[in-house]
Amino acid sequence: MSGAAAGTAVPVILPARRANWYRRLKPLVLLAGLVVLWQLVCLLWLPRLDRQIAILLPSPVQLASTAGKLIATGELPHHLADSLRREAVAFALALWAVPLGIAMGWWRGIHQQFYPVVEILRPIPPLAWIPLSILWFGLGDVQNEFIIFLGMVFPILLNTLEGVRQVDRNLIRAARSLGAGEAVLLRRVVLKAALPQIVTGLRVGLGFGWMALVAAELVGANSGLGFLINDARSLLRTDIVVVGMLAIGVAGLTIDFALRGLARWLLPWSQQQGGR
Amino acid sequence: MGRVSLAGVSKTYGDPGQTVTALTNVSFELADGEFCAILGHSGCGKTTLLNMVAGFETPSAGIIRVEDQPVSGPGWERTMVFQDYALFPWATVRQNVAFGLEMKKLPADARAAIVDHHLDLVELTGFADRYPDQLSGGMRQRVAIARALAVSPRVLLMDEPFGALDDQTRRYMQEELVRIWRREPKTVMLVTHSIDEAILLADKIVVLSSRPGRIKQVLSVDLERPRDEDSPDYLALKRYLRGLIHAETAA
Repeated sequence: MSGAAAGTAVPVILPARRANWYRRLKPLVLLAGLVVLWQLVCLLWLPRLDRQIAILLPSPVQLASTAGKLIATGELPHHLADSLRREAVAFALALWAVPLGIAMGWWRGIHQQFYPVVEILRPIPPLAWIPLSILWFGLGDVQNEFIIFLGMVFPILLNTLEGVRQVDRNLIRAARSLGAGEAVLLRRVVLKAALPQIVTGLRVGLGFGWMALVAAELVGANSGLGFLINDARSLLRTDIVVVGMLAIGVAGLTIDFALRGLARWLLPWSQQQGGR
Repeated sequence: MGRVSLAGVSKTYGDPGQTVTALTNVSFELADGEFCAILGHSGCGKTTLLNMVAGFETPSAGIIRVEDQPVSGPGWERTMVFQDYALFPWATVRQNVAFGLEMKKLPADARAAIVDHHLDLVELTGFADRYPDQLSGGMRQRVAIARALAVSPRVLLMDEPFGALDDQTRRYMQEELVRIWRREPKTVMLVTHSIDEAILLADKIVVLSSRPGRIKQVLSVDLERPRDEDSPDYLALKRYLRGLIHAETAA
């Protein structure tokens, strides 16, 4: 048996491992406590209070079972995939805000012309576009993507613009005196120097877009996580509603994690980017 | 290779009718390989003067020539070492030093040889793959010097290059700069408000008065290198410059 060799090593390794687990799990104590409390409330208190009310708050155990079923039947993955696809399409379109933001930050004339347009459109919440966009595009992907795009484009644009405007003037001067022309300067100095702020804009934009996505799907879609929870509401399937909500949260978190990873990869020199 | 001449150079800012004169009628000449310190209070326009030689700003009147060529914009023949280093934070030491050589479209192997030579010159060979954030202030400034020298400029411009360093590091860097300059003689224009720095480093000191900046005096420093801060000649010159600058403050 290999147990003999491993057994001798165990007393040495175990305390360190335990300490490590302990450190990792410690911040989750309150969360775990709340989940347990939630379960107890659902199990013991609510049914005694009123059977109708009990339906309105599904228990964690029930949610786990519903989530398992929704995943097994492919329903949850199907809605999640539709939502993610809309987010991705809108993001690809909203990425055009990066070159526009650079141009606005770099050339005064472009800034002069575009800034008033941006300032008029920006304060209109993406959700206020929903009625008009439904008339324009009907229910479905294009309408959803349009709303998500509107949620993403302004944070990306304004962060890029600000990033370019805040580029250290001496970096530009240094590059110019070392012989950099306009194109090289924009690509190799301005873009690079503004990149941390641009990445921040992408993160904020993806977050805003995800929020706008759910709202758009609530009213204007027949698939997606927003549709899923609204549809379940009409059937009083609160368990599906909450599972959908959790899926929206987890997916949003995953997107942000992915972008932080991208930031670390894109900005190896900038330590603070990964941590924020 | 690096003669510099300024003839009647003035600079005014602002709209017509509401102008501020930063510099007025500045004229002097530097021989090839001469080390010149521009000495004056903050606000005397010494950085403006340097920026005009670099081509970052244009004179309102007068003309600046390097080797008889009028300066009309930034270019590799006049490179600048900034007080805040202005290194590209996303690039390693090696990439920073190589930047100007890439702009000159040098082939990779020639580039590598020149970069290695300059890293050796500033004694940073072992730090080629570090990022600027991972270096101390003095090391960053040495990278900046290597980057500015790598393109073989005719004139090296330095804007209070050691102003952000602690006293000990500044002393060390001043000695280093003289060592580097003697190995690779270049015309140097260094802006400073430190009388000691001017005397320690320069062949020629241009003293500027404030508001508007104009030349108060141009004087040569004929002291043996390395310069002894306790020698009577050094102290006499220091006292003289202090008087010149102090009169300015009183006025």
